[in-house]
Amino acid sequence: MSVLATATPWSGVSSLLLPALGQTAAMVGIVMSIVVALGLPLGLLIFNTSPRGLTPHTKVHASISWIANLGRSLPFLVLMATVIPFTQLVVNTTIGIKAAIIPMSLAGIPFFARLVENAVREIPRTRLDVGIASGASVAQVIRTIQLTEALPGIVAGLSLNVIAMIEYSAIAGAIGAGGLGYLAVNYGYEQFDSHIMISCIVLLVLIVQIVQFGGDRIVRSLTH
Amino acid sequence: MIEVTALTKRYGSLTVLDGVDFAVQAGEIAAVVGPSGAGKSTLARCINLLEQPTSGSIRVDGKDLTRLSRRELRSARRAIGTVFQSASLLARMTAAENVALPMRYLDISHGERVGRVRELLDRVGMLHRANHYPSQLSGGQQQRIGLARGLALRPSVLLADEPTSGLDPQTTSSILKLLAELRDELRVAVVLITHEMDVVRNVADSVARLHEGKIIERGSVAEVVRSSDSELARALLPLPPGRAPDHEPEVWQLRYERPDVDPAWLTSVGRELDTDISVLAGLIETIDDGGAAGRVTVRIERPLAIAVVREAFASRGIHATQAGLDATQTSNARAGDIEHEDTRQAGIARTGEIAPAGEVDPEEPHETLVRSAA
Repeated sequence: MSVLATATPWSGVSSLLLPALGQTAAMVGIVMSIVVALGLPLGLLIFNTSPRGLTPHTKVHASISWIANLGRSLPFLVLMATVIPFTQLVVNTTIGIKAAIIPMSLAGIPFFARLVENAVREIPRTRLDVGIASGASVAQVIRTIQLTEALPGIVAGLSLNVIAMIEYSAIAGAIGAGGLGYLAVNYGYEQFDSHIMISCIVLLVLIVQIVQFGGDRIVRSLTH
Repeated sequence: MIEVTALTKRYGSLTVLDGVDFAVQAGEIAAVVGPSGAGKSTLARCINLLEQPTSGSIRVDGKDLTRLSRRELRSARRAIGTVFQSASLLARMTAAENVALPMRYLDISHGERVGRVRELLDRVGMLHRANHYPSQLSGGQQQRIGLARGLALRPSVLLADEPTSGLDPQTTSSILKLLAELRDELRVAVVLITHEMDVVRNVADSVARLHEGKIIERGSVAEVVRSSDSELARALLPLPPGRAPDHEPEVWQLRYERPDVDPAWLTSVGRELDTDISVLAGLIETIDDGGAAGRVTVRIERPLAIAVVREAFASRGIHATQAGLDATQTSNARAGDIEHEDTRQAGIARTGEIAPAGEVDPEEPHETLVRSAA
């Protein structure tokens, strides 16, 4: 390894950048499916067991709320290290994309659950009463009123969450998960490869802008 | 019809409703009034079964709805439609989807739903707004949609919980007109919960006053305003605040006792008693039975025997008391608690011939507040 900066020629950047982009996309994509699948019901559960929810239950609310806070209280790097035994147990490895998915999901699920809870909490109480007074079951109120009315808020939370997961995927690069973050750290930072560094930065900025812009557009089109 | 019997609701040691009884017949609008904190909203939530009463029963068409299982309750709710306060429409559904919502919960077929939604929107005059979202509709239009939704399951009882709160006076009266139409055409029993006395006067057949969880006064609206000087009567037909008349024996408080009081009484009493009569404050309105109701403060400008003055008014269907002799001032102050401030202003604005509410000078209210008394 040379101490002097030896930048990868611009013509060679794309052959490193594109696979990394693919790895980031795969990581974020898989993690987000897990996050939505588990975080959405968790968020609804947190809200609906709260005193303002459809089925208030103090003890259940307090315990799941505590667990959700636990997942959000640790810095991601620390969380990743803490859950290594669990990661080993679930995916049978502690390095690579597979290993990164576990801590990323553990951080993403409670984050998304809170965003969902906030979005649902914004719905005025009378709108829920409308459903109940019209003869809806709890499941029907959740489906036709809570999810429908909170959809713009949930989508806004989704773009926020995707951006957070892109950031986490870069940190997960430290355990060899690959992706743009890994590329930036290993080539750009440690090998002083300014071309790779600049390319990674530009690409990450672009991706985040696109996600946010796209998310905002969707939210606007869903809001009446 | 709906019969509420001995309805009691406690939260821990706090009793919010204490043995409330009332019944509303099909084709009747019964208003429940009272200040904030009297238990109105809890009563509303018990009637539409959002809250389980601690004891007592709610019978709709003879069937007790308070002792049902969760499952039975869901279908029993059809019997009671609710019109909530404004802003209860789902923001991401069109007017038509909002009206269809209760039908979706009870497995009514799509075809039947579409027809019924059209019929309901047509009835409330909103068919041309079927595909609009609530944000594209005015407050009054939204509340029309809310009414249509409340009627979606053909209820025999319609609970209207502050249906006109936040609406301007003109919109309020159009919503009330619609409510009266629905009462007459669909023969629903309407329970109208409100703090606005104008609303009660304009549309209700009967009125009950809730105070600290108990109904302490009730009767038909006409009966209450014509035959008593009770707090409810004063709240329903408030005398605008005027100069303190306590120490002036020549100042009289008048109350219409009959619906057919001759509007020319001021002139005819003046002639009979050979005196000038000054009107200091007054409120005269046509109420729901088509007759007049009024409350007027006058000053008799020539010293006369009390019995003579009283008789002159009594022969014209007007009850007269000397202002200094009753507790008008204190009662008026208490009536003010019931009467919401903006209700009074709304009432003023509607007469159209006097200063808009915003320009009423609080220092000299009785000058500007005199209505069509002369």
